[in-house]
Amino acid sequence: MSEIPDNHLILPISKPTKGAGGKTGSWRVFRPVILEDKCIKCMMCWMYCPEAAIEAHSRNEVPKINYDYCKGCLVCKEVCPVSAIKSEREGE
Amino acid sequence: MYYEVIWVGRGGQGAVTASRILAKALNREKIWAQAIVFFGAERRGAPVYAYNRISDQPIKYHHFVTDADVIVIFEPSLIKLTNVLSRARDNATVIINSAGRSEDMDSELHKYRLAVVDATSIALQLNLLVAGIPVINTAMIGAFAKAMGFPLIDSVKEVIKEAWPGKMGELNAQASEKAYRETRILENIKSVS
Amino acid sequence: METYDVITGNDAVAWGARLSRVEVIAAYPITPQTTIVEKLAEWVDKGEIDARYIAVESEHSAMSAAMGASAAGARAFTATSSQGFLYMFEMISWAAGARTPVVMAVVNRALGPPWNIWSEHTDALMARDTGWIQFWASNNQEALDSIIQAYRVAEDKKVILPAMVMLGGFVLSHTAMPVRIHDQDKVDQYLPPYSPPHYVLNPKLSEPFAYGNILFPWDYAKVRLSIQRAMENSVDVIKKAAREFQEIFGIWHGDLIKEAYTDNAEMLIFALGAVAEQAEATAELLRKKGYKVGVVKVRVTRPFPKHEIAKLANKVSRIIVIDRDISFGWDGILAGEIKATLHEHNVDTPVTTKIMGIGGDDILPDHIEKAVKEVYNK
Repeated sequence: MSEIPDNHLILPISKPTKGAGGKTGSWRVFRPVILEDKCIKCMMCWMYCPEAAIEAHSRNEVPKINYDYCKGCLVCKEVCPVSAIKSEREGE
Repeated sequence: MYYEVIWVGRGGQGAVTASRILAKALNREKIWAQAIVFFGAERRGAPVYAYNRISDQPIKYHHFVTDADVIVIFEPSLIKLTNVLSRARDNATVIINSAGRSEDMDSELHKYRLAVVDATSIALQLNLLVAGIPVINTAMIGAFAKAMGFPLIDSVKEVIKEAWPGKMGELNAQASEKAYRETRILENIKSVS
Repeated sequence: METYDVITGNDAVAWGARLSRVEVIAAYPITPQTTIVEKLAEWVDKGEIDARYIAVESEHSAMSAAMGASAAGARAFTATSSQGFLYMFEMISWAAGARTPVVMAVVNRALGPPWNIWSEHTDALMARDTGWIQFWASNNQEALDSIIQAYRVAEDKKVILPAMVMLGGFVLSHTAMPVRIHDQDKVDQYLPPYSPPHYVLNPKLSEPFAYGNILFPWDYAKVRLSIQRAMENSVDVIKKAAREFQEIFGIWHGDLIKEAYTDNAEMLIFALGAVAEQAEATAELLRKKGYKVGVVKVRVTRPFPKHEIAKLANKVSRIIVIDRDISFGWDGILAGEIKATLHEHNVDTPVTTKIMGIGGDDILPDHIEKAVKEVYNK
């Protein structure tokens, strides 16, 4: 076991990264797809994504899904207030 | 200076509020006072107790008042019902709301320095009613100020007006002052009885 | 401007939160805590304080909302008691692990059944292993002042842990006594605005992160150890916060402990909160009767003031611990902590536990005097 660092503030935050299971994007059965013309840029999908796999560069642009790490849970599709996210079967 | 006070009224008569108003009035005169309440399963009409500790020094006690130097009784029927006089110290002052009818004057009362005020009539004269019940607690604070010589009745009135801005405060302040003027102190009742 | 008023412990707590400029209040009412959040809700409604009041459907949600607000960078406040505290328990633990410096008032009340609304300390003591800093107020002034101090300690960069401030149900919560309500400028000087660490839930849109994800044992242990380190750091932070409070406001409530009549004492009484002040008042009487009795108010139970207690205990021949609480199958909870402390520091002073005041049973000076006399001549 490695030595535990003596630090008084280690925070329980995580970013998408290659873990024990590799890139989690390969777990997906369904892929969420953002419909750019319907998106109102409310960032609800960004907020709710449990893997922090939805990114954006400003409030003026449609967020982008990081398919390397998106597991395909489709929470984003559920929370989208304007049904601007559809799901597609992987491989189709 | 150290006094312990028991207020006994019925649920809805405002004994708790009276003890707090008294403490606030004393605070204006740099006298340290606690106002303690016992909350149980009270309903309107059931006996309710409130307490004060009053001193020129900060008080560190945190228990209920067991025996008192001053007992304020909101209606004579509470004497028998609660047996509150068993908690009076020797030389205690008992302040009672009564129209002075002989049947109100429990024989036990004669052991104490007695202050009598007809708070119910004062409330009715001022039309001071809440949900049809005469409000007597502010009059009883006026009676306390007269019987004990503190706090100043002006302090009592100021605190009452702050607590209920507008007409309600005005009427309650009047009730306390009227009670202050009308309270009769029976110092020598022991020798009379 | 500084004012003096006769207010209840609950109003004192509300004033403590107001003077601390809390930004988010999320709470659910429960006797005897209710009037704290009623007062704050009234102030928010009237626009007297610049805070958001979140009405929630349970204590579990109250702590979740407070934690979320704190994680987003706001100064968050909540209050609860007894059954509500237990219902909140999952999130109490979570708030410490998430390192959200929420401050919560806990109005101590007995647990059911049988149903009881009166004072007992068992509720908050159950949370001593959660990673929260625990302050105990012995009077209404201390309740107000401890809320302000709790934010100072909780938000310190060396700490970043939530803190709870306890006050006895009814004994303080509904008892009115004179309280100094401090000048806002002075409080601002003592307690600067909360400047959260980098992890607030307001990351760049381009770099989102998740909060509280699963961690495997090797990483989990690191995070949990960091709570212990922060707790250790908090000892000095609490001492400094108490000292600076005294410098600015001229009031000394103690830091981790407060001593009374401990000079040349042959016996010490240890207690929490208003019970400790009650013991102090009784000790004053007992000193006049020739008993060399001192009182140690244990003001903070986490971090536990081990060194301070061991040092004092080593100088006396008898100790009584008054516990308004019980750990069934073991001992009074404070007594258990003190016995462990003395063992760790090789102090062999005998300790007698006196469990009193359960379910709000009044603790009279006579009760304390009887306990002292019983042990004093043993």
